[in-house]
Amino acid sequence: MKRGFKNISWSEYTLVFMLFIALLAPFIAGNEAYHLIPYSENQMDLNNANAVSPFEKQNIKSKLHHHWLGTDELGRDVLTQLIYGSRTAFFVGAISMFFAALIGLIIGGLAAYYGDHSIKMSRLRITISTLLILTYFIFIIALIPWDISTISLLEKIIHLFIYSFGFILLFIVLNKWLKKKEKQRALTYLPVDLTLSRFIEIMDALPLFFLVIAFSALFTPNLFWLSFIIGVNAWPKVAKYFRAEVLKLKKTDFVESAQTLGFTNVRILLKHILPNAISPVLVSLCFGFASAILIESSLSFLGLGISSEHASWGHLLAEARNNYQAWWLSIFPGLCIFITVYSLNKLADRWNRVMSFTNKH
Amino acid sequence: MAYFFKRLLLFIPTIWLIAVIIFFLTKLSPGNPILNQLQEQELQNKQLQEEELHLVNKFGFNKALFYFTIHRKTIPDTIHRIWQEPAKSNLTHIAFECRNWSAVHNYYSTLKSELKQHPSSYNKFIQSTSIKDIENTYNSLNIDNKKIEKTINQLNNNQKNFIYNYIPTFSWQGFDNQFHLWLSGLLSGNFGYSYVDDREISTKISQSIQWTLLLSLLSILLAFIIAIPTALKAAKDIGGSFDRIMSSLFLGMYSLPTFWVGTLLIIYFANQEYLAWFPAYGVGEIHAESSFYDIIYTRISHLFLPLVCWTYGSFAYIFKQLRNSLKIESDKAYFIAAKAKGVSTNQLYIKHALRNALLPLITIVGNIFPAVISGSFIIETIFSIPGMGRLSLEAFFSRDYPLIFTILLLASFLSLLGNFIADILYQKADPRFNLSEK
Repeated sequence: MKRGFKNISWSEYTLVFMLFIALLAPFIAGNEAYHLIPYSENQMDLNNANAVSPFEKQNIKSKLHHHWLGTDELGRDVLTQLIYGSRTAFFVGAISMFFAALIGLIIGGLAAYYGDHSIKMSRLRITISTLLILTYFIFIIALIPWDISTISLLEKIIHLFIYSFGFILLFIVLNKWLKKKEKQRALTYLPVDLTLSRFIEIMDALPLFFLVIAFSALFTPNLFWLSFIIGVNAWPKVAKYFRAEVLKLKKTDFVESAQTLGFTNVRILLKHILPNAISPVLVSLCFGFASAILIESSLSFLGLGISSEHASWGHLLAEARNNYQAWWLSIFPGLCIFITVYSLNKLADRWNRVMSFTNKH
Repeated sequence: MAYFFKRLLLFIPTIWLIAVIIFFLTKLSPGNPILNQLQEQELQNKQLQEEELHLVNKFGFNKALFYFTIHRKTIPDTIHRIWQEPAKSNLTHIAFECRNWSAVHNYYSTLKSELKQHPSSYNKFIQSTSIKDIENTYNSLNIDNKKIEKTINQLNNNQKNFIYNYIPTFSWQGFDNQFHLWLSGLLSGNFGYSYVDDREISTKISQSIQWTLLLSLLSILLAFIIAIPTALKAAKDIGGSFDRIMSSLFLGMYSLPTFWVGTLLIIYFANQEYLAWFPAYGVGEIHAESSFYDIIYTRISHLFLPLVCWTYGSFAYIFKQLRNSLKIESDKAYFIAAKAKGVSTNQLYIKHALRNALLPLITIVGNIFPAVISGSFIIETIFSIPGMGRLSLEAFFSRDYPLIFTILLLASFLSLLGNFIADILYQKADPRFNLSEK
C-alpha cells in the first residue's frame, strides 16, 4: 500500500489538469485571435443552432471554428461550455469545502479540546452568557433594517458591526465581573463537548441534500450562496472526524507537555493539534468536494441551481433530456463529472488507506 | 435504558426548534402563490373581496407569525393585519423614514377610504416606497383631495427622532398566531390543505410515499444481495486482484452521477431508436381485470431501470464497510482459533466472521427512514415516478407552503428517528457497545 503513494497516480494528474483548465478557461476559449477555441462562454453560433453533431457537416468559416464536441440547442459550443463548466464545478467545490472546514474545525476542535470537564463556571454565569448570546441574535435579526431596501447594504453591515462590537464588549465585561464574584465551591462544569456533539449529531442526521434543494428552490441563490449553503450543510462530517482525532491527540505527551509549559489554548490547538489532526479532515473534505460537485450539477440538472447564464455540466445534461438524438450533449458532460468525481474519490480513498497504514505502524 | 429515555426526551425540543427554523425559512422566502393571485384582483369587486377574505382567514395570513415579535419602535405590533404584500413592505419603508406610525396609519386608512372607487390610483400610491415618491404620485395624478393632502403633510411634518428606529420593542402575540395554528394542527393530525389544488396534504403524501417506500426497500435488499457476497470474496484475499478490481469498480459506480446514468438508461434502453426494452416513464397502469401475473410484469418492467439507478451507488459503501470489518475480524483470536482448528475458509468467513462484521451495517437501516420521505428527486423526476421526491419538488416549485412545511418536518423527524432506531438496534446486537459513553 505504501507503493501506491510514492509515485503520483493518474487521479492526481487528472485533477491538476482539470484545475488548470478551470483556472485558464478565459485564456483557452474566447473571441480573441490567440484563443484555441474561438467561442466565448455564452456565445451562440446561430449558423449551427439546434444541436449539431461533431461529425455532421458544420456551417463554419474555417477548420479552426469547428465545434469539436458539437453544439447545443441554442448553438453554443459544447466544448466551451464544458471548459467553463469546470470553473463552476471547482468553484462550488472549493468554496463549499472552505466553509465546511471553517465551521467543522472550529466546532469539532472546541468540542474535543475542552471536553466536558475543563471549564468551570457558576450557574449564574452560564445562564447570563447564554441569554446574552440569544439576545444578540434577536437584536441583529430584528433591529438592523434588513427589510428596508432604501438603505444600502454597507450601512446595514456597519450596523451589524456596531451591534456585534457592543455585545462582545458587554459579554467580556459581564463575564469578568461575574467571575470575580464566583465562589470556588459553587461551580459547575460547562458541558462543551456534550452540547456541541449533540448539535453535530442533529445536524448530521438531517436530510441535508433535501434542505439544499428546498433552499435553492425557494431563494434561487447565486453561485456563491449556493456553495455557501452546500458548505454549511457539509460541516458536520468534518467536525465529527476532527473531534475524534483531537480526542486522540489530547492524551498524547506532546500536547500535555505543551499544556504544562503554559502555552495558550489557541496556540496548542492551532500549532500543535491542527497539523497532526488534519489528515482525516482532508480525506473527508476531498469526499465532500466530490459530492459538492455532484450536488451542484444535480441541482442544475433539475433546473434549481444557478441561472442558465453560467455554464454548468448539469445544464448541458438537462438539455440532453429534451433531445434524445443529441448523444454528445449527454456523453461529454457526464464523462466530465464522472472523471472529476471519481478522481477525487480515488484520491480520498488512497489518502485514507495510507493514513490507516501509517497509523498502525 | 435511561440513556435512550433521555434521548427520546431531547427529541421534543429538537423537533420544535427544527419546526421553528423551517417555518421561518419558508416565510422568509419570496413569493406566495395565493397572495400574488389575490393581489391582481384586489379592490375589483365585492364578491372577490369576500372570497379573498375567506382565503386569508383560512390560511391565517392576517395573523402574527410567532408567539412574540421583536420589532422597531416605529412599527406597531399589529402590522401583520396588513397582509397585502406591496402595501405591507412599502408602508414599513415609509414608517422607517417618517418614524411615526400614527401618521402612516392615517395616510393608509385615508387612502383606503378615499380612493375606494379608483383602484388604479390607489395602487399607484401603494407602490411608492418613500415620502418623496408619495408626493410625486400625488402631483402627477392631479387629484385634488384635501384629506389625502393633509395626511401627506402629516407624514412630512410629524417625524420623530431617528433613534426610534433603533429601540427594540417586544410584544407578546398570544396563541392566535400562524406558527401555533400550524403546529397544533399538525399535532392533532390535521396537516392542512395544499395551496395548489386544495387537497388534503395527508392523502397527497400517503399516495406518493408507497412508491418511494417500495423502491427504497427493494434497493436496499438488492444492494445487500450483491454487495455482501462480493465483500466476502474480496475479504478472503485482501489486496488481491479481485479485491482491487471490485474496490475500484464500486468506487467508480459510486462516482457516477445518477442523473447521467438515468438519462443514458432512458435514452438507450427505453427508446424506440435504440433499444425499447423498458417503458420510459411512470409506474404503469393497472386495470381492474388484469391478472396477478400482469400486475407483477407491469410493475417490474416499469421499476427496473429506476431500481438500477437507485441501487448501484450504494454498493461501494456496503462493500467497503463489510470488507474492512471482515479484515478486522480476521485478526481476532476467535478467528485464528477456528482457523487452527481446521474450519474451512468458507465456513470461517460465513459462519464466524460475517455475523460480527455485519454490525456496522445496521446504520444503513437508519438511513431508510429519511430516504423514504425525501426519496430521490432525480430518479423520480427522470423516470416520472409519482413518489415523494417528485411531490416535494413540485411543492418547492409551486411554493405550496403547507406541503413544504409538512414534508420538511417529516423528513427531519424521520431522520432523527432513523438514527435513534439504528442506535437501539446496535445496542441490542452488541451489548458491549455503550452509547452513553460514546
